[in-house]
Amino acid sequence: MSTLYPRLPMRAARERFKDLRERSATDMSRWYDTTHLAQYFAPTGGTRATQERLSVLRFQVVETAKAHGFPSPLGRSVHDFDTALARELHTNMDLVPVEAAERPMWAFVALVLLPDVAVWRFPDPPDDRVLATDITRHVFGRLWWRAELTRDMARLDDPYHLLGVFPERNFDQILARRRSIGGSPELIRALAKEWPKDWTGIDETDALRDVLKHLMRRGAFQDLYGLPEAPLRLEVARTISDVRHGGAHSRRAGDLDDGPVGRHARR
Amino acid sequence: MTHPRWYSQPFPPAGSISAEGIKRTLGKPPIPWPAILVREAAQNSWDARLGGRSVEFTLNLAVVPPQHANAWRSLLLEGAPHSDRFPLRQTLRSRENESLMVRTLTVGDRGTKGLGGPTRADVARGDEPRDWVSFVLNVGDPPDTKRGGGTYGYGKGILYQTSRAGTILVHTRTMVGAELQTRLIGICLGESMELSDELSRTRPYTGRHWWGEVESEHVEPLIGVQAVAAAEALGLRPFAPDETGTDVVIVDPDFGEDTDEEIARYLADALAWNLWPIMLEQRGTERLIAQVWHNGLNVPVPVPEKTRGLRTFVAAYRRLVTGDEVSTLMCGNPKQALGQLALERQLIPPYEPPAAAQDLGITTAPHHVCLLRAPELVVKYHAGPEPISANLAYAGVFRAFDDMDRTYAAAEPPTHDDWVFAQLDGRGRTFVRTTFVRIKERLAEFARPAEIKSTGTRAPLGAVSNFLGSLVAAAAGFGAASPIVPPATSAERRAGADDVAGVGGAWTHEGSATSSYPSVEDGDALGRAASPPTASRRGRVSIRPDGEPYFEDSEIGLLLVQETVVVGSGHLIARATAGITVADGSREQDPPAGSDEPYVIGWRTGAHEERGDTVNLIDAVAGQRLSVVVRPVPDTITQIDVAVVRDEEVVTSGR
Repeated sequence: MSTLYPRLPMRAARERFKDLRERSATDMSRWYDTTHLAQYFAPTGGTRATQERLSVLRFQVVETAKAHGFPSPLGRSVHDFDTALARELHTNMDLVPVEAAERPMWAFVALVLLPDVAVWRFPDPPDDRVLATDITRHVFGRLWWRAELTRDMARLDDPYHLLGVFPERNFDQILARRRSIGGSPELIRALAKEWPKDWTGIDETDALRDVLKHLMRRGAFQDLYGLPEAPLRLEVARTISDVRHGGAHSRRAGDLDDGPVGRHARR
Repeated sequence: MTHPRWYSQPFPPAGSISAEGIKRTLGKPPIPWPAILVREAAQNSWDARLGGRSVEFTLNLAVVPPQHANAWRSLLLEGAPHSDRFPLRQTLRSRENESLMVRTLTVGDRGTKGLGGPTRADVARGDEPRDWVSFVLNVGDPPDTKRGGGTYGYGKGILYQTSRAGTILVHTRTMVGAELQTRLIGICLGESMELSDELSRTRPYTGRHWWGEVESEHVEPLIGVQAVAAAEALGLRPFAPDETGTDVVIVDPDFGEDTDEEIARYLADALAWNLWPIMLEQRGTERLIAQVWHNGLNVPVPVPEKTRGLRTFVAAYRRLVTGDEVSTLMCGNPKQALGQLALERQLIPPYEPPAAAQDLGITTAPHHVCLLRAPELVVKYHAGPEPISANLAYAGVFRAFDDMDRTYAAAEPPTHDDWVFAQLDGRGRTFVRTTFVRIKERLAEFARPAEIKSTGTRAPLGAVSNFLGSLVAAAAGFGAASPIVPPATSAERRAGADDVAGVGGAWTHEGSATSSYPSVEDGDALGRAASPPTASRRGRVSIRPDGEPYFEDSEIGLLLVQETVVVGSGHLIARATAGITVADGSREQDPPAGSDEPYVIGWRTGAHEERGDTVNLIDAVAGQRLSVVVRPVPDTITQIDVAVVRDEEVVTSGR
């Protein structure tokens, strides 16, 4: 049984967002709450989160933020904080994807439960960062989804080891194509597993963009979603290496199983 | 000097093989005679190459011209046995009151060493070449050409088989000692017979006859001046002073039901499909240049590198030569490297291979491995599993290692068109058998796409093959199970695309056709939205795609052609655009760095072709058909859109 979180209707959320923008960061710390007058829950599908549970979640998130300097400005450890928070949200919130796709739910978390942390992470936030009009940009929602999409169940000791592979703006590249590539956790994991660490001399973001473009071309006729992990990774690795080594055009479609030929030849 | 004449070989007391026996040594080959003829003749020529220059190999199908007809009759009937078992007599006698019509097929080579060596078979072998003896006199000589294609020289039997008269003329120029010598001899392989001599003594004859300078028990060729004079009288192609080579004239060739035109075409195709490895330009001077002539006209021999189907093999061969993704086939026990295999995949439009290729087993898109050994002549096209799509051809080339050459050669039947392991014993048998096992294993991996074993498979294989199928045949539609299909079925969307044209009078509206599938935006939403009813006027001309796009072969590679049809009449300016459909079904906006994009080459209206993406028809008529020609990008899905352009736009955009 999963946990259902309070949801903040859009009208109430907008009002609270207006309030939030008028407040200074200092009195933000006492402005949070574990409940809101307009909140509602999904009628079925899980156990409703109690106020105690919400308090615990808040405590955990704030602790993580403190570990990264909260409430002093975040500075350079943005990536570390996001990675740690993504792991934490995904581990502790007990969400199912359908619940995690609820924008009012994320609006509640950002505007009611954790407004101070939200503003600390995105000072003077644009509305989509807290209202979750676009979950892939939401201060917390995007992190939960990043963890969900990169979680590697083959690594029970550290299922979230792929979280740190892509920095924020690169992961956005992937999520920007959520109707295709971003919609396949298998593909994202393959990409993360094959993504080289060292990009000296090459713009990593540009490279990722090109890799994704090539995969988009391929995905139009090759079912990248149906491939099991091994051949999928091989495919992705080849595309990455083509882009990385300036092989601008993607290789022939049939190359997938040519691999062994080359290996034999080198023996 | 005596006159050249025929000599018939009597059976010696110790017995001999009869002409029929020689002809039978070829067995019954699985491929037709003309193909065997091309293979054997070219192999002989190739084996005789001088090196350092290309071998010119010609097949000339012609008729003996009238000015030479008398010479043929007077020279070539001299001493001919009076028997219906010597058919040349009938061939040359022909009908009363009709001019002599003798057809010939001349198999010629230049840049070869000619048939040299002693002219009688009872001279000890020594170091001298014995080409003459092997070709003209003996049967079944073991090979003496290093890495030669022929193993026993039975192949020449096909030359006699092809002649209705069982007769060939051999005209050669070769180095004898330190000088070049021209030699001319006629040979007939007829039927064994009994003949009575002048004294009415009857003797059995083997059915082998030679025409030339008759000695007591054998025949010497005409040589030097005499040969040149006789060749000139018979109208044979002369040799240049410093030229060597051989012409074999097959008298009255028999091609069964086929007309000479058909057979000339067939021979040209057969040359390409059987000899392409030695015809490739990349070989430089070590190369065979083949030509076919028919009654003085050149019949072009397909260029392997540019011939559909064949060029897939050429690509695989190139890999083999350059060592690019080549696998070495091994036999495990006993341990032995057998040869190397390279595979190549290519997308080809539906096509019917020429008859010469079909006779070699290639009846559809190739899915074969071409077997080669040291001489690099095609032994066989070994069929592999059928590809998942009829358009997804693959071709392989297996080349045996040189140190294995003898083994594979020994496995060949006399026609050199297969490797039959059953013909061998011991290790050789294992090696040849294992070769086929290994090829099969490699093909099993290669011929199908990555196997889908995952338990979480979301797309059934059917959907995948559907994708691939649609890539080529341009079928609209998906497997219903495909996970990325937007909810509307392809049929609905297709209908939507058609609706656009159905609006029938829109100002600017788009018809959209995709070589795979139209995107929802293009088909439905845009099309309708861009057709405001207010702008609609009766009789307004427009254009819409008609039918599925198809691939077409051209010099610059595959082209995609979309037929369109004019709706309404009037002045029509239409523009076609081509783009790439990406995974989410939309059109690619921003291509990856350095990648190609498809583009519209032009429009075809009837026989007329117009370059550029815009076509301007002053008087377009309803139902008029135009086609858009697009250069697609490999490994992508091309989307073609056709839209009517307003006059103003044309002016402002300066087109």
